[in-house]
Parts: sequence; structure tokens; C-alpha cells
Amino acid sequence: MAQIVAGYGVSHTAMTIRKYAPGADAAQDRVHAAFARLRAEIAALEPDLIVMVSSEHLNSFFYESFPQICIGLGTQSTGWGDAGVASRDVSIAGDFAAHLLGFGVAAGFDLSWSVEPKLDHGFMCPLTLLRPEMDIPLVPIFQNASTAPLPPFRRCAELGRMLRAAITARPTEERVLLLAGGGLSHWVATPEMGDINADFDRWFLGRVEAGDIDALTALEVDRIDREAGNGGQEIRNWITVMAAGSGPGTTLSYEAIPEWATGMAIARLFER
Amino acid sequence: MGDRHGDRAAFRTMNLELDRLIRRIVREPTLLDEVTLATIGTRVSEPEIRMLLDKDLAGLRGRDAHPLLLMQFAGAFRIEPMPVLGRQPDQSQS
Repeated sequence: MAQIVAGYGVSHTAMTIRKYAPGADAAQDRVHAAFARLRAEIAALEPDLIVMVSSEHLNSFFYESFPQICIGLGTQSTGWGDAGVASRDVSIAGDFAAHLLGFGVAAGFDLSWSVEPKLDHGFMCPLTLLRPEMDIPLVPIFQNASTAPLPPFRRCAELGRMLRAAITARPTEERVLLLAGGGLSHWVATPEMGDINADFDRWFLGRVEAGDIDALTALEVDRIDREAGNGGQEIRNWITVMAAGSGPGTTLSYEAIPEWATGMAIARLFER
Repeated sequence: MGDRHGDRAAFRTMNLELDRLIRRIVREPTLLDEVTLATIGTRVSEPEIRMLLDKDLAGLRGRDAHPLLLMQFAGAFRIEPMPVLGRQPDQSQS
């Protein structure tokens, strides 16, 4: 059967690439060094594919069709080239994606799907930093983190558990890497834009390190808006991947980067 | 059921026409021209049209434009959003 070889969460702000000048800021350099370490760790795992749960930013979907959760199918996608992150072609693990979709729907999870959706920086920024070769096929899973109504966090965890069941039910032998994109605290186009709530971020990472998903699924959606910003809603992607594993996680890097207006985090979300 | 999630769990009041127009402009910035806007059949209000022409991001926010579309609009016209919408980096640590 297929196996989950690891699960990670990483911030995905495009400013990590667009507004980075090597050597100009020690904290920014540390973020990039942490991405480089994770890049090596992922390479050593030799995954056959990446299942990435992230949020897009009204580039791929709009009001005429707006999924809460959407799986990308097909054979190849490409980046939007938005927000200063270069467009690249990305292979889609279409057969695996179709398996996740079919399993999920059969299990009562009403998933949307999109054939070869374009990918914005929510996907492309982490992939560019973690696998610039773009040679590992991807299953993109879009989760709404931007536009009300937002699903409760317990539903995001249920998605993760469904993904785990679907992956372990797969009869073939793929090595699957799970990757969550987004967060931590940041405010997008609000008067608080530029704020970072490092206290919240450290609390959140503490729950990751404790493997305490119950504390995270108990969070109220509005509380996240208040304490972590409208962009902080992307922690739901971390919760999904966290729920696909078990046991404590590990914070690999945390830096509050004012110039990027984001609490930048990188973490293993569960033990291998 | 039984979750307490507040406003963000509800369908919010949207300025759909404004959001649609911003999205069109972001994809085709040459639309942002007074004469052109008058010909494309938008139902966006005159004050909002003026805000678009003036690239008044804070004003558009006050009209409930979607935050992500504001960011796209800023990007399309190379406006640094933080100085006009949020805090400067040196004020930003909480």
C-alpha cells in the first residue's frame, strides 16, 4: 500500500521570494536556510509524489464557482506567475489524485475537482523553495481559507483523516509526502496589515509540538481572524496535514518577519 | 453543528459588482481608463469608479472589496500595499 513518509507545514507568502535580498536581513536569511534544510530532508525521503494542501487567492476560482475543498486532476498544471513567484510547469499525479477524489466521495466527503487548475503562489512559492526541480508529481488540494463561509477547523481535520485513509487504502506502493501551505499570523489588506502575533504563532506551534489537534479543532474561526489575522485562516491547511498523521510535531523554524508581514513557520507536523 | 464560529462562518456581505470589476481590471489593466470604464457596462457606482481610477485602495476596502482582490489590484499597478492599507514594517511587531 502507499505510505505517508512525512508531513510538513510551511508559510507560503510570495514575499519570501519577491522581497528577499540575501544577506540584507539575518532573520530572512534564517528562513531561507530553514527552507534549504527542509529541501534536503525532503530529497532524502525520495517521495514519489507530494499531496499539497494549500489555499489559493482568487486566482484559480472566483464567485461563479467557489469550492471549499477541491482536488486538482489531470497530468500537468502550471503556475500563475503571480505575486512575484515565477510560473513553472508542474506534473500532476493524476491517477493518485483521482483515487483520493473517488475515495473521498465514497466516504461521504463532497469534494470538488478541477482538471489541471493553475496554481498560484500558495502552492508555487513553497514548491519553488523546496523542490525547484519541479520533478515530483503533485496532487494539489485547494482549501478555502479566504472567503466566508469558512469551514470549521474540525472539518479540516476530518479531511486529513480521510486523506490518510485514502492513502493507506491505495494498493500501490507510492511514497507520499504531505505538505501544508500558508500561515501563520498575517493580516491581508486590513488596517492591521504588517502586524504579526508571535504569541499566537508560538501557541499554535506549541500545539503542533504536543500533537494536540483537539486544541486546534476547538478554535473558533472568528478567533483566528482576531488573533492571527484573515491570512491566519490558512492554519487550516496545517491542521489537515497534522490530522493525517499522529504524534508530536517539530518546529523547524519560526521567524516573525515584519517586511513580509508574516509569522514565518516551518514544521514537521507529525512523527514519521 | 454546535460550533461557535461567528461571522466568518457566514456568507458575508459582498460587493459583487466591484469585486468582479477589480478582477477584470487586474487581468486587463488597460480597462482602467475613464472612457473605457464607461463603455464596458459595469454596474459599479460612480464613487467606486473614481476610487478605481485614483487607485484608492483604502477607499475600495471601505466599499467591501475583497482583500485578496485589493492585493491583486495593488500588484497589477505596482502599488506597495502596506503603506496605504496597513502598518509600516517598523510599526508592525506585536
